[in-house]
Amino acid sequence: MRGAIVNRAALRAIAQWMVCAITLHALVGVARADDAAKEADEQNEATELQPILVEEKSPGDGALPERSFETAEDNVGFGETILTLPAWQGFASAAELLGQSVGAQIRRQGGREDFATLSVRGAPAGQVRILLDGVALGRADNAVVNMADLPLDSVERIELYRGFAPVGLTPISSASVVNLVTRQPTRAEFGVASGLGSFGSGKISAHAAAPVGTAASAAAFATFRTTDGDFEYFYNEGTDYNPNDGEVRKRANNQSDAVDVLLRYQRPLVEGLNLQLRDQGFYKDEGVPGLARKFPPHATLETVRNTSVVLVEDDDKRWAVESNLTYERKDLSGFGFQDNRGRTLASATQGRWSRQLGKSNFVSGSAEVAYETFRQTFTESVSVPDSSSDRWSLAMAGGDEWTLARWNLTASLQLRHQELWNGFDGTVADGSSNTTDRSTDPRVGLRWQPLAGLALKGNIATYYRPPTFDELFGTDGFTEGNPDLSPETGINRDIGWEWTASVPRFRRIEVGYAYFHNNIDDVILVIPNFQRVAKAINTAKARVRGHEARLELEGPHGFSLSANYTYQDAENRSPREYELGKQLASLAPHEAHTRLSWTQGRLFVAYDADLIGEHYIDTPNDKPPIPTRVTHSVALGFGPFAGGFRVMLEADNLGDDLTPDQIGFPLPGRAFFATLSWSSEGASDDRGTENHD
Amino acid sequence: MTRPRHHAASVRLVFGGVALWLSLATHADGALCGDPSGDGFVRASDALGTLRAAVDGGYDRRADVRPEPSDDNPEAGDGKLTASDALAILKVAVSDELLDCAGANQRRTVVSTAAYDYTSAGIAVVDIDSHQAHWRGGSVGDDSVIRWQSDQAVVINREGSNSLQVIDVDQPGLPTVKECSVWDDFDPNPQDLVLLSPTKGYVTLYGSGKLLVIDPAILDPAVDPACDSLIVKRIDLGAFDGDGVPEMDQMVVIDGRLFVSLQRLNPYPQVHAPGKLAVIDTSTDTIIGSVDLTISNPFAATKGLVYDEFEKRIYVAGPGTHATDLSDGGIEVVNPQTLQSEGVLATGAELGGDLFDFVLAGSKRAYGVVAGQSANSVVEIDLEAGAVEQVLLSSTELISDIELTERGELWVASREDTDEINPGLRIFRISDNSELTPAPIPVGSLPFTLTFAP
Repeated sequence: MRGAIVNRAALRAIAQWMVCAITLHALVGVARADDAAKEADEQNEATELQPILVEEKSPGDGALPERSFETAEDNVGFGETILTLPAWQGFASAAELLGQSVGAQIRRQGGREDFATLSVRGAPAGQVRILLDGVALGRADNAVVNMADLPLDSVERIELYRGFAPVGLTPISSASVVNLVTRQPTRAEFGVASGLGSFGSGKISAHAAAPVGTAASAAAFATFRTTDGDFEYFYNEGTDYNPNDGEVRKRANNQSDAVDVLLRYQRPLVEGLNLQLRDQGFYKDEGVPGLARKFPPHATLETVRNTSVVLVEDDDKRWAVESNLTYERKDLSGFGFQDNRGRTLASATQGRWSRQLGKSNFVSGSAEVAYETFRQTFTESVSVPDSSSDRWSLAMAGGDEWTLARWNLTASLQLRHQELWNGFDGTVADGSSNTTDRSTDPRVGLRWQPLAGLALKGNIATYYRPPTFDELFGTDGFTEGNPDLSPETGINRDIGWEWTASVPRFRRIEVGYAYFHNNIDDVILVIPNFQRVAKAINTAKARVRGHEARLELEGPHGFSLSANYTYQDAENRSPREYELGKQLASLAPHEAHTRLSWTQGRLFVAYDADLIGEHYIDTPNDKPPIPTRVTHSVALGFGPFAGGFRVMLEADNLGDDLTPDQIGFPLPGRAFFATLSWSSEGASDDRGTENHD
Repeated sequence: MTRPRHHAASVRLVFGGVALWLSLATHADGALCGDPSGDGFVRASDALGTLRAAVDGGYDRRADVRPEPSDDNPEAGDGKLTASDALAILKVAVSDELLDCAGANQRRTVVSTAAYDYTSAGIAVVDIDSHQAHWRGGSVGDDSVIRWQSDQAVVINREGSNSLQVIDVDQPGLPTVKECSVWDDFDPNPQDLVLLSPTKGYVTLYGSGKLLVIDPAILDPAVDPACDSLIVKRIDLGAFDGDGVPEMDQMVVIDGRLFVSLQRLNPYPQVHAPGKLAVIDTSTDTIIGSVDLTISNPFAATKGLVYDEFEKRIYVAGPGTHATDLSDGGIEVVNPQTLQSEGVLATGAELGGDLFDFVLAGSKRAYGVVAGQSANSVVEIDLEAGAVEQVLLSSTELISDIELTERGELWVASREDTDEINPGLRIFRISDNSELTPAPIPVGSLPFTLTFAP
């Protein structure tokens, strides 16, 4: 019976996929007509305001990832673009690079390959929308994305939208958005990298791109990462008040092997239209070490995820229609009665569109229809029945950037609306197995450029995060469902400025500051209820205010400096007697990151310092706080040499700071990594260098 | 009236420089001052019984209520029964007032607190008369329960911490005297502690098949700082459950025999068979038998197994199948001499839901925390009729613990935290089931478990 239900669900998803494909072709025709109209408009208008795009740098095989102040598609909000192209030549992870961004906090539970979540401006991880080429990675059964599972070697840039995101990126509101944009080589290139490091870490990465025929191109990226994760830490045997009762141990059952693959094929479909086929696969087999003081010895998690995408867009990317199909499976074993397999099949079709309207307006819109089904099977427990949940979603968004050129003023108005329909095939105590949610979220933003290089900005927007299947229906078998849950909601506000200076001998100077003031309401927590059963309830609220300051500097003689500082006052506004006015747990009030680098010819050296300030890890702030953690890291690179080779040596946490992370997990101490890479671009550079020399 | 603390029921014996702490019964289950009949009620018949005993030269500490405690004489009773004792009991029987007696040495309430979301926990000590509280937050494991044994407060830090933590409740700062791990294989999750002698004790492990035999002397900060020799022996109870983990819970020692309640969930958390009591000879630490229970999942969060020393009966209780079946479980009586169950006194159906805690007022009367379909309640239970006599308190938030003083005060750990009411300790007088606290007594955080101390 359940199998039949799931099969029907799968059939629904496949049917939707087919309908979407047909719709896509229909839309192509419509879009072409629109394109013709656009061309006519262009001819009739004397001046066209192009969407303001960040000038994409061409980092090539540069030494280290670079940052720019604005995200590619939104210059009214405070965003950041991390150009990650060189990252494949080292050991860095996407989570690390994001954690070095202002306003972003990574909560790690161990080393690079271990579970990590992202909080932006104090918003919980589940409220931050993580996209891979625009495809959501958060699932309806669990909105939190493990940042350690994000690819990096195939990624060209990471866009971080703090608080406000363009409607062209996603029609769904959220506290913040991260979009990983994968590489789209336009010419033939090849590369391979191999590295080794502490704690049994290793990686092999390869990519190839080449033209296919006269107009098409194809690219393939693959990365394998492995680690034993067996770093040493002090295990106190659970006795926080007896330092004598403990010992230094090696982290056990913390190994992982992961593979991510990206295949891309693109070609002109007809004149002015391009077709892109993309497949992103991910596999990870990892031990689940649990808390330092509580580790099941053989628990493992196996994750399989594959996303296939068909994208049609016009040449100047003013519109696009995309349909994607995702399959994800997570097998948790070794926990006994909690062992389970969760399977997700998700499909979405999204359309994005933007165009000039008159001389002053740039309008854009997007819409998405999505279906997702999740089935959970418990392999050991006989008391928890299998269950299946599904969700239909319809989201629409429209926006206008109205520019008064005379005043150098741009006003951004956006409106998003989403409708959700959730269904569950089981029985929910005292509740319905079908629920709906909806939210309409406006955004208003203003950008004023009073002087060349100086931009003043301010934004306000609302957002929401619908409850997950687990919270609504108790799909994990150990949480009682609560179909009456309200979505988590929030209001983001910010104001600040960014200044880009032109100074002789400096390639780039950018300075920025933002004040943010966010309110979060109806946060869902899972709490044991009066029956001593865990149940999700809307119970928490918070106010997060803070300051962000950034400096990006590329000076003479190859010196660069990147520095940022975040202060946040994350105040618990829950009305409960012993929580009101306390600091939100696991959010450090002070965070700072500095990178100083020097590039000279084939050599580069970089120094990183990261500070995570003292912070509480419990809601009432009763426990002694986690002390300030400062880590120092250096990277040394050389290349290209010997026909395109580069070598990268990295030393992390040189001071061997063993301060635990925000929830008490042990973090690795001093670690060393070495990577040798070769790329065809490097070979070209090497020849160029030789010629130049 | 605020009375100074005293330690009437504990005697410190010093032999050759070795300090031994012997704990006499600081709290006897089913002992109510003024109730020598032991039925859980103070009635005129108790006064008459006291008078007869006085005439016959008999003695029962429950009836020894004169003289009353005072600043000059902080201890109730004089070690003998007189007509004045009978008269005092008679007055109380008709007035619903409270009595102290020779056995009632409870002057403080020691409370383990836990944050609303269980991210931290603390310890509080509340004066039983003035209700003044000391509290230290973040000082114990997140999932901790409190015991008073061998004249000391011992926190059992359960899942995640797996340790025993001795707290000095005489110091306002409530410092930790010593903490020792009972980590023994993967997350053993200690549940209960019995300190049998200065050198021998037992710890039940919920997540393991092994019952720990420990040396309590190691809890002395001057001895073995790393606690390497705390665990002396392991008694394998794995055979009581098919999966080797019988989910052992509460314990009591009676006449040299240790009784351990076993939930026998297999696979966890599935209820598949009735619970059992394992019986262990404390002189040899060998299993000498078991008691088959009628109820399943004996999970009531009592402070050890409830034993009525006057009626010589063990009371075992629990919810049975949790949440999905509110009719099973209940309160069952076991004869520790015959090792036989004497039947279920009240089922979940009769109590109105899952029973998660109960205290014995006497052979005919108990109080329990019962979780029904939409709320949990503190109820008075008629053990003879097997029925709820009165509902004292109901809440949709968790009522996590109840304990009864020998004076007849029922202390309730109320975690309700709303605009209308704050979390704290609420006290009910069981002579008329009226609430004595105009508002919950604040204890620094949300109360979780409580026990009484001299």
